[in-house]
Amino acid sequence: MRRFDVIVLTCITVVLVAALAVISWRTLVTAEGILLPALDRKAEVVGRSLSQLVAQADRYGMDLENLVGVDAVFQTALAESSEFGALALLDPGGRVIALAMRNTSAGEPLRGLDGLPVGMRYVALPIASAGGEDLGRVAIGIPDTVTEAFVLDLWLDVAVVLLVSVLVTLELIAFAFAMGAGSSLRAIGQRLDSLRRGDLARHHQQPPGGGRLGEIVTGIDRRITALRLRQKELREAAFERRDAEAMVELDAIDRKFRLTRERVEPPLRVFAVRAPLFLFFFAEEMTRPFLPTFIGEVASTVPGLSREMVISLPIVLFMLIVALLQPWLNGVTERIGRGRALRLGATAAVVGFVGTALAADLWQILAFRSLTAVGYAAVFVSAQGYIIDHTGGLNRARGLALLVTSIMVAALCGPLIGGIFADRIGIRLTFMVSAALSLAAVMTARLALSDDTGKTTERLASVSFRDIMKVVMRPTMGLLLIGCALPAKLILAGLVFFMVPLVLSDEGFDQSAIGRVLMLYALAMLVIVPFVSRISQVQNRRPVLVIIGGLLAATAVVHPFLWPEPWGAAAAVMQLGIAQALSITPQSALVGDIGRRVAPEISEGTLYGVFRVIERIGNAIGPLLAAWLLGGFGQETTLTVLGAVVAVGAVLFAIAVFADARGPSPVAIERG
Amino acid sequence: MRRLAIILLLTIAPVAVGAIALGAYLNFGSIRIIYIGLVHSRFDQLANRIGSDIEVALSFGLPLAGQDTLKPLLSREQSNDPLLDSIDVAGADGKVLFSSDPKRIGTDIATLDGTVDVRSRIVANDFGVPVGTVLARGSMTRIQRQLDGVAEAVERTAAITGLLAVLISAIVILVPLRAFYAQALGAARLADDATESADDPFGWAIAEVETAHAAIAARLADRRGE
Repeated sequence: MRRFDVIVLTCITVVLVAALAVISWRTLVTAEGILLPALDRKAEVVGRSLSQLVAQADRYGMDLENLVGVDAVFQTALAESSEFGALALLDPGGRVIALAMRNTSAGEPLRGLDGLPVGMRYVALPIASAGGEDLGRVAIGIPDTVTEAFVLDLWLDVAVVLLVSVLVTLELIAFAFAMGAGSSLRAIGQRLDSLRRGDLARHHQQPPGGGRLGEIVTGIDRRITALRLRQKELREAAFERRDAEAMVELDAIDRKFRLTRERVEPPLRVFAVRAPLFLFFFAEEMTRPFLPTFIGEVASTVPGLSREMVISLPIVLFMLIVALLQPWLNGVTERIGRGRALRLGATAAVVGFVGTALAADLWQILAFRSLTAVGYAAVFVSAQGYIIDHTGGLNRARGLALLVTSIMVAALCGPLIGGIFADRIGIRLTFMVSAALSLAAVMTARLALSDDTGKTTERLASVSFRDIMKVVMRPTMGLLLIGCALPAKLILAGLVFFMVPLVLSDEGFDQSAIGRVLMLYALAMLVIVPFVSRISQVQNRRPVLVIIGGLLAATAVVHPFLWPEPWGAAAAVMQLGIAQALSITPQSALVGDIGRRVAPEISEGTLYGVFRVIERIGNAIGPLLAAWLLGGFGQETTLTVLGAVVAVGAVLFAIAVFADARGPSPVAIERG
Repeated sequence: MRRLAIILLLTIAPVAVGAIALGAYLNFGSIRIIYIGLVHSRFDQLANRIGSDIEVALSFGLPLAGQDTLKPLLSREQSNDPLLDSIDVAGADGKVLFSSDPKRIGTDIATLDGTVDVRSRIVANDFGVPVGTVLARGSMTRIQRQLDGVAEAVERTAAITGLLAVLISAIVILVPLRAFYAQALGAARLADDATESADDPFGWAIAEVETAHAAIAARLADRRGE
């Protein structure tokens, strides 16, 4: 199966790269026909201005050889026209009197015998005195590679399109292989991959489809089960006869072929939820680079509120609705069916996106973003519920990891494409694209989850205020949740979702650049989380990883002080992504670990319910706090406070962990 | 198999077409932005130069309305640039005082006209008080005509590469899918209880375990015999 995925993906990537390269090359060749003459004309206009300036100096009686400040004037003119590589003042014999050059990354350009930089063609404008006498020329150098330099940004955008297309293709292959015969084929593929490696662990995944392929899957599983049974019988027989040699041999077989192991993959039907989920989150993530800017443009001022606070209102309301609705929606989606609820949620979001695209004032934005938030919460809870309904204790974590991966891939692609679309077709039309993607999510959910009549095997615990207080009052647990989990989401929503897009947009960066900065968070998470998941299996590493992650996240805010934008913001977002990739998995696992020790009477479901609610409250507080600080105290104070909140939380949790390790049993302390 | 192939094609072909269409649009859009940017900066430079000349004359005490030398200058500059509809100089009241197009004299510069692309420069006296505006009015039709050639070339290339990409994607999906399907059907023998060959890429582990099991079973049986 993996081989098939790799072959198809590689070929599609090669096809797309070739197609986009051909289009870019043809565009460039054709565009040179209008760009080069346009450049020449601009050079003539600039040259004429400069030659008139020199002629004027001559009329004032100044000698061309001894003109003062020519270099500075030429350097300013060069800075104003980024397309030109050099500007020169030449005497009638062609000797260079003054020269302004653009330094390349390789240093000063090489000069030819005439003293002018090589690798350029020159447009020369004559300088004539009042009496018509030839005083010399102004020469403007246009680099030979100017058109390539023009389209450098374009190639970055095309690369983004390519990356997103490949990731979308990957999701769609998973979607096609999650239904009907595709799921059976995937099941056989997985079994053949295992058999090729000599891995005889038992597969739990049974394809929902029957037919010839389904029979083959059942047959292979029966064969493996027979081997496992035979192994067990022989083991019992060897034990009875006290045959140590046979026992050793059977152990060796077990080790080599993983004969008594269980595979913990989620069932195939869980893969079906990925495509609608991916498309939906993609739609929402597309709005990240421009949402604050859009609100700022549409919303009028509100008395008593700063511009930043007004901009934060729809974002805060969105986060708040998602936080408050999620616990309640679990029961609702269970009653009406997860697939149906997912479709309804995505449909609500379609209306929300269209309404936001057409919104004329703040109140309309608030109304339609709230509707999108209801849809967002419904889709998330339905997808999560669907996975929980179709998984058990063994493969639930893997099933939920599919959901997280889907969201992360969407968070990687969405801002990139959203930024490009916003720049090219405008923000309002980009909301329409989001609506179309959301509609595609409805359609794929209709295809993939139409038979969703699955019974709930385990209810998600609903969380009350009393539950929250009960959990938070345990010091170590409280500090994990309030000191680490809440600030983590606070800084994410405050910095990445609110502040970075707003500040970069205010500083004149286009939406594509903002999108590229924002995707760094998801990129860091996607690369590092799988690695951290493995190392955080060791229980005593988890608190350390959470503390290091917290401190790293806190120090991410120093980058905007150190580097010019957008590099400061990019480094901050990247470091935050790395930091949260370090802490997110161990933090989640620690909720269970610490909960079992300090609050054994509280169910794990309630603990995780409280954990999620607190995280979402952090999501809502983040933009609000950042907006208040940004409007009232400026960027530096905002960054400092956000960093300080995260740092203090991490340090307090570190102290609690240290005290835990030195003192008597934490259960005794907290009960005492 | 056929249904799966159709689903795969129906999901992946639109992604390929969408990526190519978006790539083509980005290519053309970038060239359009670059070209219009170049034209704008040229118009800006021109308006700047004329504005500076006017300001020099103003500082010598020549009022804007009296700068008659502007007439030939504007006509000369306009005739140098085929993309320019006209170059106007308006007074503080917004009425055109001088223009390369005589018909525009006396008209109001605030009158909107969708067919022109206007770049302007405020002219101020020595005290910084605005006394007029220089407008370089580009012809949208002529600017667009320049871009049409690029648009056509990009569209044609995108259509051909899109078609080819869909065809190749279909082959790329169908060929390995057929092989994969054949392999899956071939796996049916693994479901039978037939003896596997140790050389079989998929059956070797089963063969090895069965052989080992048989040997252990035989030894255990011998022990029972003893």
